[in-house]
Amino acid sequence: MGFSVAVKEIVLDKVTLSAGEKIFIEGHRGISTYSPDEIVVRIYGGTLRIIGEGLEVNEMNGDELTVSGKINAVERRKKGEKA
Amino acid sequence: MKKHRVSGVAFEAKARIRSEGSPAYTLNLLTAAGIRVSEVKINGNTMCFTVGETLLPLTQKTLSDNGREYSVESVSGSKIKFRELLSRYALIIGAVISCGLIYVYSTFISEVEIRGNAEIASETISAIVDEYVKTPSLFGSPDFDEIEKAVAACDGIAYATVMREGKRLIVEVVEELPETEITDTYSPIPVLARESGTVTKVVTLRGTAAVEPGDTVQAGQILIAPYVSAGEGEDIPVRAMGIVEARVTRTEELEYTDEASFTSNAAADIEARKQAFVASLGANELFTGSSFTVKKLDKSIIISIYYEIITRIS
Repeated sequence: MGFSVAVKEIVLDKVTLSAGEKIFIEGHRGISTYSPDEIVVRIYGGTLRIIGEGLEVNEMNGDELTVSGKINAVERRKKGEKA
Repeated sequence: MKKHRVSGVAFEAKARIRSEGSPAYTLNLLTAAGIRVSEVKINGNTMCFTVGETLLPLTQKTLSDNGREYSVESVSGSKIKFRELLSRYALIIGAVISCGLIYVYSTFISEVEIRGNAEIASETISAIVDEYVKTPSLFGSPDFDEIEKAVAACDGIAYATVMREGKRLIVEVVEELPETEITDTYSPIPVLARESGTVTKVVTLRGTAAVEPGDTVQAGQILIAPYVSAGEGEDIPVRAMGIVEARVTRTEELEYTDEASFTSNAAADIEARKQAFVASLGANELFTGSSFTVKKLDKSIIISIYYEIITRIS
């Protein structure tokens, strides 16, 4: 008697904040807003809002994103949730 | 991504691009096309970013296809890379020089340790060693054989070895043993009288005294016999040892060839001789008195002076 296993791709985001100066986001889905004071990143199931000063994208590819600058706050919002 | 390799050092060439329009939108376009973007700087709707040199055509095509205005500001040239390469070589050269300096420093000897000496002062040995180590030679080491020979040549040192532990030179010495007198205490040898006289004191250290104070002994006579009594008539042979003192008489003669000389000088000469004799006595010899006799011969007059002393005859 056998059994079958269904494999489903699971995409999860991972956010790492280092000393309030650098944030690393893995599994992003693009940038919604980009300014030195605010960067909004789309992630699985919502957005990640980075608020700070002198924010810059250090490196970005289809999956990973590194933002540096003076990071004051990071807000995570679920899809459909309003500020 | 294109990689260049020059003299074993790899690096990536980069292109700096300026684009107009929404930065977020542009970034999403590029990353969706599989382009890795870095060093992003924005100023309003103007954005500068860096991509790998090999991705530059794809970047340009993506931007053009989507109606984005852009310009390629620079493509990192060989000068920059060469500078990076030089900086890496400078690091390597610096490391090599540092290693060299450490090695040269380690060849210097900062301390000399002397071991094994008890009689000979460490300063004496150090002075010998210092002559060989005070002028350190670059990429060299003091000649240990020469130091060993020089130290071993020092009076009182029988053997020397030199070794090195880091910046410390260790000199191990073996000193010469002092000469020891080997005394035979087993052969049965008696103590004999060196001079004739009358015994005044007997101290027997080993053996059996054969004389006692007051005895008259002749030169060569046994003073202490070479045995000790074990009781019941049994004797154990030993080497006799002891101190025997005796009153002995020593004689000196003065001769005068004429009567006048004898008459005028005899008294003074006898006294002078007596003073000289007393002065010649050893520390353990005691002068007890003197006398003299006068004998007239056909052609001369002879005075015999007799000195009496107490001295050791054993």
